[in-house]
Formats: sequence, structure tokens, C-alpha cells
Amino acid sequence: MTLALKRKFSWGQVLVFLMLLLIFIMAAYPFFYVLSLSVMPYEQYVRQPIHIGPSGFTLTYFQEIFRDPRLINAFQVSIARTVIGTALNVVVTIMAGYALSRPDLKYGRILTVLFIVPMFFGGGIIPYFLTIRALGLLNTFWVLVIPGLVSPFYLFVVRAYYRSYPQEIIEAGRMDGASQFGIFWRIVWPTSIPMIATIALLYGTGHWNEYFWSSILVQPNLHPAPVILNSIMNNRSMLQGLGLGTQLTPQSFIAAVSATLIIPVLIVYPFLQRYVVTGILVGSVKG
Amino acid sequence: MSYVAGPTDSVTSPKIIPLSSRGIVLWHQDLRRHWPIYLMALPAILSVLIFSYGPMFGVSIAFLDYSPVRGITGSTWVGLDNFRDAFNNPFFLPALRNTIILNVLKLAIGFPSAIILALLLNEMRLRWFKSTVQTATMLPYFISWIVAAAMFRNLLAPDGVINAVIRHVFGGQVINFMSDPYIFRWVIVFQDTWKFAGYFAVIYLAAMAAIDPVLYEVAQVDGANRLQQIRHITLPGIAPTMITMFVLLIGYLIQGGLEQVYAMYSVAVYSTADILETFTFRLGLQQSRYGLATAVGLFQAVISVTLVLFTNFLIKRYNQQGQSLF
Repeated sequence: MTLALKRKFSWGQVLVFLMLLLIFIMAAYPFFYVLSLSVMPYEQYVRQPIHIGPSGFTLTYFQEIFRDPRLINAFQVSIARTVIGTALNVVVTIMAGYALSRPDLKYGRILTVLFIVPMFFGGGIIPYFLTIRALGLLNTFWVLVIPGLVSPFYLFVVRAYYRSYPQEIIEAGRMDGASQFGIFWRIVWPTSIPMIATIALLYGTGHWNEYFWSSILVQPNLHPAPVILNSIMNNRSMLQGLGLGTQLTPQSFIAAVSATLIIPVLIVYPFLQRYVVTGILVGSVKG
Repeated sequence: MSYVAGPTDSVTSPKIIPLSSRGIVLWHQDLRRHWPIYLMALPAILSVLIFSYGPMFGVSIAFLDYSPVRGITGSTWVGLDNFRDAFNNPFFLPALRNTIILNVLKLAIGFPSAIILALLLNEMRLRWFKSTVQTATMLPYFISWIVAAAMFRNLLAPDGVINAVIRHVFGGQVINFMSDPYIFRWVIVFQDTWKFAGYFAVIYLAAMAAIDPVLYEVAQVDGANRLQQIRHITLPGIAPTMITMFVLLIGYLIQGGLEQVYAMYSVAVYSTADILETFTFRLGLQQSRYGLATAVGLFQAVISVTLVLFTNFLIKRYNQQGQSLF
């Protein structure tokens, strides 16, 4: 590598390297900081005036999370909505995306417009809230899952994928006398697993990260973890009752809850990057 | 903003010859032949009809003296009264101004940042370093606004790391990032850029990868240096993508940013951080003034669609290469 570097050395490259290094630090440091703060022991925290990086190691704060009934409940709600919501999202979106990709539908064009309009125009916060209330979905678990059943954007990603899907496979299925459902479930679905995984990851991170509507549409017993994190940040009294008999830093506790929300994303992140970014999203934007 | 990368592909129509080329297909023939296909699309159709089109019909509340007890049909028509009351509300004009200032700054900083990041990544020859930076810059896109807020609040607190560095390393004064209204505005702009630049850079990088390498070879033969190649090959090569992104982002000049601001702001910074969405939220959901709040939302939606269509029109008019969105 040193040889390659020597051969390619130029001041321009050094400049590009330094600028990218600065950008890298700005992008990654908040993550590094939160993770190191979440495992920093209390004594270490109070002894130093500045905490730039890791110092000591403790899992106390993570133990505290799993000792707090509100947070246990919140993470259960988060997991439930992510799993159930994503499963429903994926089935509904893949089916509709496949349907819209069929070239010989008389009303395909109208349906396409039906899904494009909401991407540019919406009713706004209040009519949305009133719609949810009129449907009797307020304060139910299902309000965390049902309203975003299909994202038009992901629907068009799926449609673009099935547009370029080898039509001979579908034709072959038809020749063998398979029904249209049979073709979809037994032939198309199993051969689109990478795309299904991509859509699942996108919807999944969306459910896991969402907080605004959950903080409004449901009572605290159904609040997912990001909403509880927000309450803890805004209202330090939420921290009372924690860590009886031990000394804790609120900053570290907030960091630990944040870390618990970040780590699952970090785990699926390599897949996200591989499929979502380099493949389908970019392809769809290029049209 | 997370959906803006979307609708660009949706306009092209399929160039595949229909199975029945006998001309007109009647609706019941189409339905009889394709009912399983329509059935597959049905849950999605119902979902958008209820949760996207339902609220669109709900905007009629903006013209009504609405109360939940009477419902839409039982409420009286008041014309533009709600709009007049909303515009006369003392919080409206500051919120409108803040929304525009914040979103113009986000566009002015965020849009070029993503392009510059993509150009830098594209010039970087160390593969491992390029992919490391790309991985790190895209990560913020995939985390919750609440987690992003937790990070920034902690780092920028008066006793946080950034202020510690300012005091101990540079010997400066403590900066109240989160409670000084004018500095807070820049915190929001920086955080928005931090969250989205990496994601948008990937889209530009893909456009750069599609540029014919022969162009660069020819330019090198002609003696063009790297900067000249960027100026005359790379930037024109990604111009269509830049224009698409720009038109889509224009629609966000008057709306958006609710989740971010709601997670970050406090009463201390209302003077610069109270945007139309947070204003609507307080009016509608906390004071139950539904008609007023809906009027503000409709005002935003109309301006946003107008801006997108107008920008698209301008580009169509002054750009002969046909790079407009519609």
C-alpha cells in the first residue's frame, strides 16, 4: 500500500484526505461520545472536568434500564411495533408494488397517480389527527402500526424492481398453469428476498425511530422507547427512583438509553448499507 | 425530508405491449382477468385512501366553524375567517419567518454540503478510507431524531464537551448553544446537514459513477487538472440529479422540520425556533382550535406545491436539456 500511496501522492490527495478526516470526525464523534458516556462509571465522570472519550467501564446504566418498568415496557412496545408493523408493511407494499408493475392493467395508471399525490400533498397535522380519532384508533396499539401501512416512496421502489424483474419467469409460471396468486407467492416472492429484506430494514428503522406521532396518539403506557427518552431529557424528575443506593449521572443514563436505541440499528447497518444504499434506492432515483 | 429521494422514477410509463393488443379493454373484462392483481393492491389502496386522502378531505375544516361534537357535516361554513384569524395570531408571522429562514439556511448549507462531500469521496483514492467515511456519514440518517437530539443536547450543553474544549483549549467563554436563539438556529441547520449530507452524497456518488470514464481520459490528454475535470465533467454530469434534488427540496422551504425542532427546542429559543408546524401543533392539539390550525397547514401545503411546480416550470423554461422533474 505504501508503494501505491507513493505512486499516487499529490498535495490534492492530502487535502482531500484531511477534509474527509474532519468530516468523518464530525459525523462519527457523537456516536463515539454517547457510547463511551453510557459505560462510564460515576466516579470517573465526576472526577474529570472534560469527558472526551472512554474512561472506565460499567454496565450499571444498562442494568438500570432493565430495572425500570417504564423503560422495559417502552422497549417492549418498540419491539412489538417494529416486528408487527414491519411484517404488515412488507406484505402490503410488496403485493401492491408487484401489482402496479404489471404492464397490462387497465387501471394501473390511475392507481399510480393515487399513490403519487400523497407524496406531494398532505392534509396536515390536524386533519390527520382527526382522521385517526374518528376511526377510534386513539390510544390503541394499532395506531402505531396501521396508519403508515404503505409508504408510496417504498412502493415505487418495489414497483421499479418488478419492472426490471425477468418477465420470462412469470410467463413460465403462467404456462405451467399457476394462478396469479400462485405465481406471486410461490415464484415471485421467494426470488425477491434481497429486495424484501431491504424494504423490511427501511420500514423497520422507521418504526424503531419514530417518536412524534406516538407521543401524541397514545397514552404513556403505549409510548415506545424514543418517546420515553424524550420525556427523560425534558423532565429530569423522570430519573427519580432510579438507582436507589447507587450514584448515577443523568447524562450517562440518557446516553445508555440512546445507546440501546442505536445498537440495533448498528447491527443491521451493514445490511442497510449494502442493499439499501448501493442498490435499490440509488437505482430508483436514477430512474 | 426522508422521502424526497422518491418520486423521480414514477413518471415514466411502461413501454411493454399489453397482452391483449385487440384495442380497448372494457372495465369488467380487465377486472375479470386481473382481479387477483387488484386484490393484491387493495390493502395498500385502502390504506392511502383512509390515511392520506381522508385527511385531505379533512382540510375542509379550514373553512368551517368546526367542533368535534358537531362534526364536519354539522359545522357552519365560515369562509376565510380561520385564515384571517390565523394570520392575525401574534405567533403566526414569527413562525412563518422562522420556518422560511431555517429552511432557506438548511437548503443553502445542506444542499451544497452533500455535493461537496460526494465530490471529496469521489476524488479519494484510498478505498478503505473512502468507504469508512461513507459509512460514518450515512449513519446519522438511520437514527431517531430523539437520539440525535440527545447527542447534540449533551455535547452542546454549557458543561458539555464542546464548551469544555472552548474554555480549556481555546480559553474562550461558554456558548449557550441550546438557549441562545440566534446560535440555536445554526445548531438546527448544522444538525440537519449532519443527518442528511451522507445520505444525499450517496445519491450524487451514484450519478458520478455513471459518468463515462472516457470523458476524463480525453480531458487528461487535453491537459485538464483535477479541478478543471470536476468543473467541466463531474458537475455537468451530475447536473440532472442536482436539479431533481433541488426541485424536491424547494417544496420543503415552507414546511418540514417538525420532528427535529420538536425534539430540540425549548421556551428560551421560541423567538427563532417556533416554526409553523410547532405553532399549528400548539393551536390544534393543545388548544383544540382545529379550524385555525388546519388553515395554517393548508396554507403551507398550497405554497409548497406551488413552489415545486413553479421551480419546475422555471427550469423547463430556461434549460433546454429537458432536466425538469415533470
